[in-house]
Amino acid sequence: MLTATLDPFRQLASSHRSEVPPLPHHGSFLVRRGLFAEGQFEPPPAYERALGFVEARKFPISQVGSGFFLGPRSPRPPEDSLVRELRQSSTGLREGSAIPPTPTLEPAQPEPDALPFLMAVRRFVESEHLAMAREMLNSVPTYILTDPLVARLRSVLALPVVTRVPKRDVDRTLEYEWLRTEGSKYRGRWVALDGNNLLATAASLRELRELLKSVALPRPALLHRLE
Amino acid sequence: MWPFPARRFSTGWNDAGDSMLVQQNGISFTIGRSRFTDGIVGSQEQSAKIFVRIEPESLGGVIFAQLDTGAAWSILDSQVAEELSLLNGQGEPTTISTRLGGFSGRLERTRISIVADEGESLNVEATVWVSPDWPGHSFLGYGGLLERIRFAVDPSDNTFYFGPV
Repeated sequence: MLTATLDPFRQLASSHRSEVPPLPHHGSFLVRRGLFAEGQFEPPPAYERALGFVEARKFPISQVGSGFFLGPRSPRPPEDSLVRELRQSSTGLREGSAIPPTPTLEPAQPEPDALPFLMAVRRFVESEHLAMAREMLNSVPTYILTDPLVARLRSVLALPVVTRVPKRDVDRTLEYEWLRTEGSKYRGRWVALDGNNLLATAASLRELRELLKSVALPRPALLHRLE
Repeated sequence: MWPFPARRFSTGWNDAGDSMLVQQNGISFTIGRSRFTDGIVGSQEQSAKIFVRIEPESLGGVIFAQLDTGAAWSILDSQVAEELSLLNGQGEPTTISTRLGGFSGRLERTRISIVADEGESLNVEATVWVSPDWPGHSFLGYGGLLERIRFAVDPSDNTFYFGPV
């Protein structure tokens, strides 16, 4: 109760209770997933700016509500305009009832509305809930997809792509035998083996690869660091 | 009662005549296999573990990686990661907690081949965790790599079977 009382978002929401959805659906998702306790979800400033903007324009919230915080995800023109305007100015909103589309000349900036998503996805990743992280990324509104950090996460967390390749390694029985019988002599070093032949040994993999440049390799060597 | 329908497998032969795992309907479960080692001299692992052979992209050699389905991510030896230029990447910063302690690193995308002694090998565009501070060897974890691979282990002859999902 105290949290709700002190939370400006909650206060704002309660003062617009007839117009404002009780909790954005993505916020609800975060709460359901245990990322935020009820009442602890902190929307980005864009949301509060949006509420003020909507009230000044006397827009029914349902007309504005799409995308990240205010309603269903499918983009609608009023919200696109709203987002453009909110991005243009951090100080407030312009007067007037129309929202003319204005070209943005500013350089690409991280999308502020992406921050809650990034925080949530990163928390899932840190807690090793990969499936949930992917689910969260799949729910990202389209206008946030171009955010560089979101794009990076989508790339890194994408499912692995597996392809068959018609190549084979050679029988490494001799290498295994060499490691068993001779390996103890090379502790702390990298070795390159071809069969039971020691091709090279070095303190680091980089040095080992340098040494191997002068060796004719009929097949890929087995590289191993003896700890 | 076991809630899932039983799936039967048997050892069969693929088109190349290699002995592979096939499902009862004749569809291959795996398409390649390799012999793994369950102990490497010099490894800090004291108990038996499964070390399979992989060939990271552009490394120019084959290395061992420990199969670890309990690991959230695959991990590359720090020197291997350095040689693959992954330590200077722009991947996602992530910390992991291991029995060797907590480490900060990055998740990077790279290609790893799981090499076959028989049948076909697999190229995997995988997500791996890398860090210059990682003191251990390489691991194949579930997230970002094994999650799209069918695999089976036959400890009677140290065979690792694998195939794409």
